[in-house]
Amino acid sequence: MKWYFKIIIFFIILAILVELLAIPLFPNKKNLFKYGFFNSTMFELLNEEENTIDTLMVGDSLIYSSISPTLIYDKYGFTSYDCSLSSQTMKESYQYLTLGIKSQNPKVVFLETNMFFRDPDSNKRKIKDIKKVKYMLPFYVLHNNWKKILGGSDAWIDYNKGFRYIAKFNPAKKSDIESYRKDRRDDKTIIKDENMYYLKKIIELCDEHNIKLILISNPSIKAWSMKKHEIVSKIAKDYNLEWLDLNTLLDIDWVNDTKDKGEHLNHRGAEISTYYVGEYLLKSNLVVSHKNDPKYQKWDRAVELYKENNKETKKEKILIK
Amino acid sequence: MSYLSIYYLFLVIPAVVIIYSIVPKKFRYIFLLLVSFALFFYISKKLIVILFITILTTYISALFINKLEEKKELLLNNANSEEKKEIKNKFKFKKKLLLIIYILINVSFLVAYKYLNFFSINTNLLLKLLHIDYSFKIIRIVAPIGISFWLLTALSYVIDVYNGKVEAEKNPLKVALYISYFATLIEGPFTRYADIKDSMFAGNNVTYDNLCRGYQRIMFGLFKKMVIADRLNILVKIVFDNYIEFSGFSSLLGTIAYTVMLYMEFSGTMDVVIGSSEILGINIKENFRQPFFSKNISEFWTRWHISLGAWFRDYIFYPISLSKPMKKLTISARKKLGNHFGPLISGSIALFVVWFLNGLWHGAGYTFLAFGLFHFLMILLGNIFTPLIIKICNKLNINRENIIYRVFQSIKMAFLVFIGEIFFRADTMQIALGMIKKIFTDWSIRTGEISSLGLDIYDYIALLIGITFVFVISIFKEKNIDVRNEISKKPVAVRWALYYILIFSIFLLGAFGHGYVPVDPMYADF
Amino acid sequence: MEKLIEILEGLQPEVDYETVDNLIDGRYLDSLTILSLVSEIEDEFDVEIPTVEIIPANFNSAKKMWELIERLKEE
Repeated sequence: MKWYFKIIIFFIILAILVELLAIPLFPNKKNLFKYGFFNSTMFELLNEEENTIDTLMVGDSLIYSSISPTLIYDKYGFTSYDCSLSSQTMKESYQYLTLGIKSQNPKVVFLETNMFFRDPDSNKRKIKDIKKVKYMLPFYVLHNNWKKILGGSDAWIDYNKGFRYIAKFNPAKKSDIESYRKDRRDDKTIIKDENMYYLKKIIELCDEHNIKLILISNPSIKAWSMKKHEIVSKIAKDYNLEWLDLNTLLDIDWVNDTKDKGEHLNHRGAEISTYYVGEYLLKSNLVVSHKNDPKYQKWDRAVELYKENNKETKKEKILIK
Repeated sequence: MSYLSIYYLFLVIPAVVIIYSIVPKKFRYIFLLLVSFALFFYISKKLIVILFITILTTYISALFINKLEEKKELLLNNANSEEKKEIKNKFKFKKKLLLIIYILINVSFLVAYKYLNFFSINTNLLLKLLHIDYSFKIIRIVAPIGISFWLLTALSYVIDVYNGKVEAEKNPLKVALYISYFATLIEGPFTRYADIKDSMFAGNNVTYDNLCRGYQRIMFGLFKKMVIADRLNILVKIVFDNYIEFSGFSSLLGTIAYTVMLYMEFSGTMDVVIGSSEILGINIKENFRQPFFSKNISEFWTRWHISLGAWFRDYIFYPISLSKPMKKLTISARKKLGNHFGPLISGSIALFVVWFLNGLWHGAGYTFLAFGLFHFLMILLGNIFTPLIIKICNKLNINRENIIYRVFQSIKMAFLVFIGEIFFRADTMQIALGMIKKIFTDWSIRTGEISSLGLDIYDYIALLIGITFVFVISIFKEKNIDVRNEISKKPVAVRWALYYILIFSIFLLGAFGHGYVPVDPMYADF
Repeated sequence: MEKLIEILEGLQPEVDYETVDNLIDGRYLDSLTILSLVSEIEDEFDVEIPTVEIIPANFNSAKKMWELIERLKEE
């Protein structure tokens, strides 16, 4: 009988060690103890110092490929963060926002409208990840952070702030560009009830915390259509929300500025989008600049690291006229 | 499915072990058989029919051969010397016929599932060349899992019965378990009936000692795979997919990385196979014996995937080289060419067949054939030049046991192995030859080339730690020191601390999660 | 027996055949050497070694080989 106990004790000690040894791997220990391990895929927001981020960009891949918070800070001094995962659903956005509001005190939230049209059940991560215990274990997500421990203080700075820098380009088809410019209508577009439910919850949450909620539609040939434009336009009117449809506001070069034939922007296209949003924040007077504020020195370092690490290679610099 | 998956190691194995210890001793082998069938069915579904046919034909053929033998003995007892010869010949013929039919039936499965496509693609090419307007249909068929392993395992049993090395088993369930044993089903090693039968059917008790030893071995295998193989996979993929963009140095690095990765993945899997069997009290022979400590490439292949080499040696090499016509050839060649080169002729004919089949066994494709023929040539050249090298060394007063000479030998051996593995990994002959050409001609390393191979400095550190650890363990093994025995002598605190260190080094240094793609079990496809 | 050792030393001189008892398992003799060995033994002692007998147990030491030869001679 004795050796059964031995095995059980062995695993109890192992479990304790797993929990304890995850702590040094967590970027911001103070936030870890205060807010706990939220969700394995969203923990990176907890890396940021408490109450330093004024704007949250919530949405799917159209956010992380279109808006670079670091560049906004570089030019305007406003702090923001991309709370976005690929194929993010409205429900996940609500969770993400809840986490954001817990640890931060945002003034503005941008919400990507492309998520309205996503089928909440189609999200692969949702089905796969929840079944897999490993995504709930801090260790699974954090284990590679030993590299950061060895890498010194700079290594802990998340210089992309949720943005994903993509330098490669893959031109959109001519026919796609034309139909996009001709205000293509896509008749399959519907919004599921679940998405409206979470939209309402997000609106409530923002009201409660005095946050200005702004809808944003980032440029995408594949995702955008005139039909969607009309639907979102109606939603914005019904709920009295401000809305930026960058598809109609910006002029994107769909040959050089897209990474995947018009579905997402590459870093070139992202700059156009990013500065438009920055300019908008500047004019609206909703947030203040933190440039020259010693509390935000890490952001200045992030800009340096951003420019150092995110570079085009020679091959990617060719422009097609 | 991989033996190195978390589910298999920490759910399947513990479940099997627990039920195995509850089941009465007498029925344990039946339980193992059920597990084996379940695993097979889980992966290959209705193709299990093929496995059943192999089991059935194997069981019947072996029994039948035994019957013939008994009958022969009976007749011989009552016969005079002239009749004896006749009886012997008659039964020899019958036995041989039976064996040939058995082999043909089973090898035809292997041909059908693994080689038919390759043959029909090539016949179509030939027909096109000859301007014949006909082509065979190419159907993509999925082979039953592990067919290259369990089929040869079954063949060895019947051939051993034929040769009188083992008695035919009367219990069909035991034959079934021998062929389809779940731990060796997918990636081997090839077992021999005589070696495994005692421990496999005994239903040995699971002891705490075996449990610890078994899981130590399994964790070591997991370490090799997750820390080293999965990490190297990134570099290997980049180099082999884009070799044109890199210098010969990167090609060589990619090849070395691939060889190391292959070793870590496959020998790691063997650690799981042998370790999990150890828990169940089943003894399986080692499939690797520190191959990189070999003196030459021919020794390398007696230390790498040992059971495959042994299979080819016992069932292909000796039967061919010691067949009657070959023996005659050897005798006449010896008179003309002397003691060294005489036997080499029949030997190299047999060796050619062995390496041709060895290449083919790994896969139907020209790269695998090239892999086999490359090794044939290297081993042959080694044998031809050995006397010359010995002479030269003696003349120059070079001591061949000298450490420098040994190091030189090892580097030469490793280099040849690396070149061979290029054929093994490359998708086409063009890529393989292109990379080899680069290694010998293009050494213009561009700045930043190494950092563009997908690994950062910390990955190299992790690799260094991992490989050093495996290397140290290998030295102990080479010196016949059983590390696990040494560990068991230490006090509990030290033992457990070591276990936790091993577990956490896998957790920390393992190449899993975002940005890593685990290696597929390479040998499972063969 | 002396003849046998003479043959063995001709093939692979770096081994002490009086004492070593793991010629195969210790990889002193590889498969090509075995081929030469078999043909030399067959020639010298006028026996025929069937494939079945070529197993490590019969070739691991000079003594074992000698036993094999004696046995085959009787048959």
